[in-house]
Amino acid sequence: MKLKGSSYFLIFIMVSMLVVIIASLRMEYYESKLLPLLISGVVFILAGMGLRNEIMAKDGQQTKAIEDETGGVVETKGGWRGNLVAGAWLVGFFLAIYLIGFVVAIPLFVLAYMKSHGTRWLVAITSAVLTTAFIYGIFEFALKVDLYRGLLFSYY
Amino acid sequence: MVIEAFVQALQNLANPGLLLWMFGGVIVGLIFGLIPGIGSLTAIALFFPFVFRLLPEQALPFIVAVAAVGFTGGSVCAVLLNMPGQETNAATIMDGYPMTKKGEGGRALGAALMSSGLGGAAVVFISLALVPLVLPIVVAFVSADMVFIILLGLAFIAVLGSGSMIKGLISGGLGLLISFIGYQAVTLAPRFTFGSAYLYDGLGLLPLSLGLFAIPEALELAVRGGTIADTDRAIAVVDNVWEGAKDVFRHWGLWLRSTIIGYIVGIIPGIGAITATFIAYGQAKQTSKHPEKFGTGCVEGVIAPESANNAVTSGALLTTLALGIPGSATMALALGAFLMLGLIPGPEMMTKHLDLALTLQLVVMVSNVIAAAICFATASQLAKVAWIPSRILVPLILVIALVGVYAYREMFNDLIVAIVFGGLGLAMRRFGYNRPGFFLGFILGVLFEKYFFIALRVAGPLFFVRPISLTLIFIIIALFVYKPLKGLFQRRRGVQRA
Repeated sequence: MKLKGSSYFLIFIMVSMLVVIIASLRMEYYESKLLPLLISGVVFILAGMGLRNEIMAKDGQQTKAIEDETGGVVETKGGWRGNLVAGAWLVGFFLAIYLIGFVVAIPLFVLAYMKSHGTRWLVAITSAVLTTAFIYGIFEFALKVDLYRGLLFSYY
Repeated sequence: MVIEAFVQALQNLANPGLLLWMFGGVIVGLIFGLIPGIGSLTAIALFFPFVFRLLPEQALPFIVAVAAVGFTGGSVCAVLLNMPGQETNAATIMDGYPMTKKGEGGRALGAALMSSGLGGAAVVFISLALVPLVLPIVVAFVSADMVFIILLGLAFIAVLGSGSMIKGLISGGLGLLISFIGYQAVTLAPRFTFGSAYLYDGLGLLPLSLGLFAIPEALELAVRGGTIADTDRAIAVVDNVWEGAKDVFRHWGLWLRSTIIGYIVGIIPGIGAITATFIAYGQAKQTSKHPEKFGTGCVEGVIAPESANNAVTSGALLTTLALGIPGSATMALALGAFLMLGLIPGPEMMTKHLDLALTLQLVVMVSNVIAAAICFATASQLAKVAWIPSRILVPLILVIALVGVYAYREMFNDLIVAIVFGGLGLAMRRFGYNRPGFFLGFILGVLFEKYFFIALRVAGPLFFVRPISLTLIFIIIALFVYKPLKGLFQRRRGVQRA
């Protein structure tokens, strides 16, 4: 029996609900624990039912993720690998912000992303500069947000 | 009272500041609505950081205008590029693009824009007429009823969404649980904080909404790559637009029926505009004298879905304002914006802020007219947005999303929350879970718990023994029982026929 990605997700939800149930039981007041216990219990059962349905399903085809218009998706495309690469860019951007702050990380990220996806140097550099100027102008000047300066520059 | 509020709403609408913000919302809604895969839902999420710094009279017209006109922008790409700007424009493709291929793109576009603009604007009068009827019902609600109103909202989204009911319910339940992080309203004891001071006030609405909606869309766009539109540019020639606009008046009966269908579907939470468009398309085909022409480039096939999808917003807005139950996903985000601005939709909104509620309905009307006018003038230029390469859009969306999350409270931990929920949102998107249901659970969770314990203290464990509460419970049960019973009856009928 080979489990699908969606089955692992359901198992993850069930384990999370067990953690919530255990944490709720340790709470002192009944007002604090009542609804979390009730809801996590229901979600645990529903996830169990969902997992059972998936395991019992006869066709082994990859379930197409059909979500209603409210979720903004009609059908999933491509594999997880593409998402992992895109996610790695996001995490890389986040780490860059953490280390060198927004003002330096933004142009570096835009430039690196666009260059690695085949954009010409001129377009990539112009986009990086314009994006940074836009963000700096709107957030620092107009909205008076003190953008995070990064671990390396926060001591200066 | 209603007339006074309406006069005040008209005065509010004449305020140049409000008109300016509304116009900004129309532009943003049109542009984001044009970009397939992005849409007005992502637009509202991305603009949260700006919105929560504005005054309610600036922020609300902006948000409502974005929500109102996204479908109009989406119709341009649907007709000219065979690619719906939003899923709600999918039905428009069936006849819109064949018309474009036949060299009638301008006519199809004219019909789409005129029916969108008129449909979105005309239904506001129905909403305004309904307010005096809705008001006494809403005022009769007490805390016990509000508990079931919230459950009803979650049940609608879980059950009536086209995905699996179990996944819908799990999504709503997870959202409720996430809302319980932080201080408990009654005991003030911290819950699920794991000793982190950051979690004591609960998770921020903005990191969560951007994580759930904007980041997954950007990641999916990155995977898809290339440009969004893959249609021949030469085919998207726009002329004869006015002929299409006149078609709407030639088929005014169809337009009216489709508009009313859209409005009614909009009032019912969770069904969504996509359902409305296909129902409208189906009834157009059924009532047509030449149903065989549908799908080959028939103008009625454009008028029906486009009238319905814009009419949904006004109905959804009424439910959101009167009951605090969002009628659509964009309205779920709008509800989040209302709460961030300190306005609680529901009885209070319909009594103390009735003029504001009516102003927003008028904003829907004017926004639709402005959006249609802009599209009439610039449709062929607007369609070019769909040729922006994803390698430019993806970094832009991610940058605005993360900077926006940080600007919310200037807390670095919010970025971590956004990324974590970005991953969760992506998984939910992939596996067909209901993200709007999750978000709704999150924003209504605190209110749900508050009303629950107030009702429990005031009326005891049998707090639900009230006519309104019992009616709501009956509707919730009926919602859950309807689908399985229908399936059972259909199977039995099938066996009998066999």
